[in-house]
Amino acid sequence: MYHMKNIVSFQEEIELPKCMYRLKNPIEVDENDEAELNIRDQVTKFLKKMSNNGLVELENRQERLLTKLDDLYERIKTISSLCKNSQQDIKTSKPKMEFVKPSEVVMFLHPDKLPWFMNIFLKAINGINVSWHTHSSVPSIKIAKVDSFFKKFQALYSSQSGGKVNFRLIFKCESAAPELKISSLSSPIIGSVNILRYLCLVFPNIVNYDYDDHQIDGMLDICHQLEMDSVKNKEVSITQMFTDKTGFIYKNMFSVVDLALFNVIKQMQNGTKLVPKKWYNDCEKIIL
Amino acid sequence: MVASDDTKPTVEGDAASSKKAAKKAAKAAEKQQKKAEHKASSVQNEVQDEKDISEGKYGIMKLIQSTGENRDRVYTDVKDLGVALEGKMVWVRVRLQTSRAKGKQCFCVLRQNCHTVQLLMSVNEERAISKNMVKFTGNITKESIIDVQAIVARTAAPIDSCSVRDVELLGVQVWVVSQARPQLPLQIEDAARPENNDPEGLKIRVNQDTRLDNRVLDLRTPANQAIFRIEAGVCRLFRDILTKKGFVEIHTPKIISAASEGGANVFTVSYFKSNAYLAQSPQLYKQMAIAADFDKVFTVGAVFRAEDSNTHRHLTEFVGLDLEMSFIHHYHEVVDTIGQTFTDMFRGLQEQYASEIATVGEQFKVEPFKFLDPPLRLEFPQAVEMLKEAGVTIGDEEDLSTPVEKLLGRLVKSQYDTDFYILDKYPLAVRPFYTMPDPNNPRYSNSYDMFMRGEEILSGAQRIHDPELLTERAKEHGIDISKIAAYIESFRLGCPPHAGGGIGLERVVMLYLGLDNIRKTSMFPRDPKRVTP
Repeated sequence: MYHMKNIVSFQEEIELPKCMYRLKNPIEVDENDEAELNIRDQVTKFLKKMSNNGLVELENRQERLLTKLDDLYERIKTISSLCKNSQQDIKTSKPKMEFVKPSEVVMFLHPDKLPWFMNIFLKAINGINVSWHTHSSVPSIKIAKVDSFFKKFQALYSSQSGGKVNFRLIFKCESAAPELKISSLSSPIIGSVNILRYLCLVFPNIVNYDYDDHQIDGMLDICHQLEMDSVKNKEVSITQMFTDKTGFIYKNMFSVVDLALFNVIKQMQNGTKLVPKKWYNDCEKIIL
Repeated sequence: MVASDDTKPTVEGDAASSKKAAKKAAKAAEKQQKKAEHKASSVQNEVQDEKDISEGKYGIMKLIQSTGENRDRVYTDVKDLGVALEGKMVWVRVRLQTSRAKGKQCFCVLRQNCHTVQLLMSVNEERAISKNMVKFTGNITKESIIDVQAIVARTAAPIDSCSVRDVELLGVQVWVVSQARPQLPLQIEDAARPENNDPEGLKIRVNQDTRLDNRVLDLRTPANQAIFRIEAGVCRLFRDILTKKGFVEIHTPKIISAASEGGANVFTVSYFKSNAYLAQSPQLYKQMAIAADFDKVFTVGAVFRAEDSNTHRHLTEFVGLDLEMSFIHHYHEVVDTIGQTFTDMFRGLQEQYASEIATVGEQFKVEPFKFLDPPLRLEFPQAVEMLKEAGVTIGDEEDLSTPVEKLLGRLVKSQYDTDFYILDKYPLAVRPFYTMPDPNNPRYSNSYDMFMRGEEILSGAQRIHDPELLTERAKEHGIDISKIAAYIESFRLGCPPHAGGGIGLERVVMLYLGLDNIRKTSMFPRDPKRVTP
């Protein structure tokens, strides 16, 4: 399989042992015999005798490689230390980071799931041209419901003079979960909770969302799960979320969790019965 | 089989050969006897034929010369056959698509337009169906027109090979109305075979030229029947939608004295002692109608282009659907009207022609056409940005090439999930001289293109209605003013601001159905290499 490169060439024979284990003869002790069969000594002797350039080159090469390896090790060490530092930097600066606002945003929604969570953002942001379309997959009977939503919030969902961001809502029957696309080449952001996360990142200071707080993310994950759950599971989970609570869910302060849950409740037929009335009214005042 | 009566004479003195001769003679005698028996039986059959129980129930019908016979006979359409008619006796006038006779039975597939049904003709004393009648049915040539009286019967299992699956017809009478010749230039089964890549399916196809050479036969395939019904639908919806919007249908001349668009691509026709041209576009006449206070006009008619383009999407004669409309303040009033007309048309096709679209889909596998309501409108700089993101750089004042248009179509589909969109604000440099410049950016214009599946279907603009500006723009384009003097003059009598555009019917149908060649949507296509049939 492999051919060995001949580095040391010699013609002399090395005397090899003829048996695997040599037993000392307890009667006759012959010291010379052992010395003659010491292979290492024999090879060393040969090598010393020869003036082989190949071997010297090999040694030099080995030295160079070892130096390079040392150099690489040092570099990796530096990079890893830099990474540790930058991670710490991100942690501290994350909430202050400003994301580039896209000029064209497309959101796909099922006609049965209206974009209640969008109202709070549209109220706060200026310069957005909002338009909505129905996809060919939507039957005519479902258009009326969508139409009445936009008539109700006509002021929010309209084009603004000098608007630099085009926000298009496309109602489509093919996918159940909302999808947000900011480019024709990028993958969509799927699910209204994830869309909320993105919007909070791009438009900070509208809805309270602390990125370092894992508890908020945990609750948002539950809200995301609720979107896909059956009505029965939704009822159980929502009731659990409001155990011993009448006000806002997290730290008694309106946050992205309340917004996500409010959106889930609005999509349900009898959702309002599952939550405290005070919480619902307070959310409605802030969001809508 | 013909038995030879000749027997070789035996040779005297040869015992072996005489034995053979005797055997041969015996065989010959046996054959003679059999022949006589066969003759006798055939005579008997003839006698039986005379007493055919099916007599008067089958045969070749007398040439229909409108003598008034059978006028009270009620015919049922194949598409209406169903379990509701089970046990009922019906008459159908159909084409015999295929027949397979075996023993005492004959299975036929009967076709009426896009719809097919199975006919079973079996020897049956109760219904007075003789073996001869079954044999006659089996011998009717394919594609012949026949009248069949039959009983509608529910089938045990659905018939997959026919469009009517739940019932079949049990034949009672069969009359040949018009016989097709036995050798057909192409087989309908071959022409109708699905164009998918099924490794187990038959690979026999009919090529485009054979189809067009024998268009009458080719048009009988279910897909073609559906395509031209959809095409009629596009035309009807275009008329209905625009009429509802207050448009007036006008008819513009097709023989014109001067070339309407440049002059390079016109057909010249001899016109008495001089020459005339075939109209390339009804645009000038539409504009004149606007100047004559018709406000909103449309026209449907033949358009001729002498372009030597042998592509999948060019014809030298096609049906143009053109419209022109005056507006109050902004040409977007017109863009929105045209865009909405398309969307309503697509919605109408989706709702009213679902079965025809499905029929076409059975032969040509394509993705269903997707659109948005209201339609998506992008501006040219947005398209340039999208292309740039995808790695294609276009100059700000450069037109889009066909491959770039296709790429843009894909990008738009990926982001907005629509096959139809409007691209607004084209660079002024790439549009004709009569296009109104954009007041906010002189490099751009108030013009637009509309696309289906990444291919341009409509090119339109706000036309300059001011004669001075029109003259100035024409000079900038290096156009000889004297040649367009009449056009400029028509605006000196006062003309409202207006915009419009035109589409090719065949191209719209081709792209709506996702077909690969415009010749599939032109009944008798005309291209640089074809002027027949």
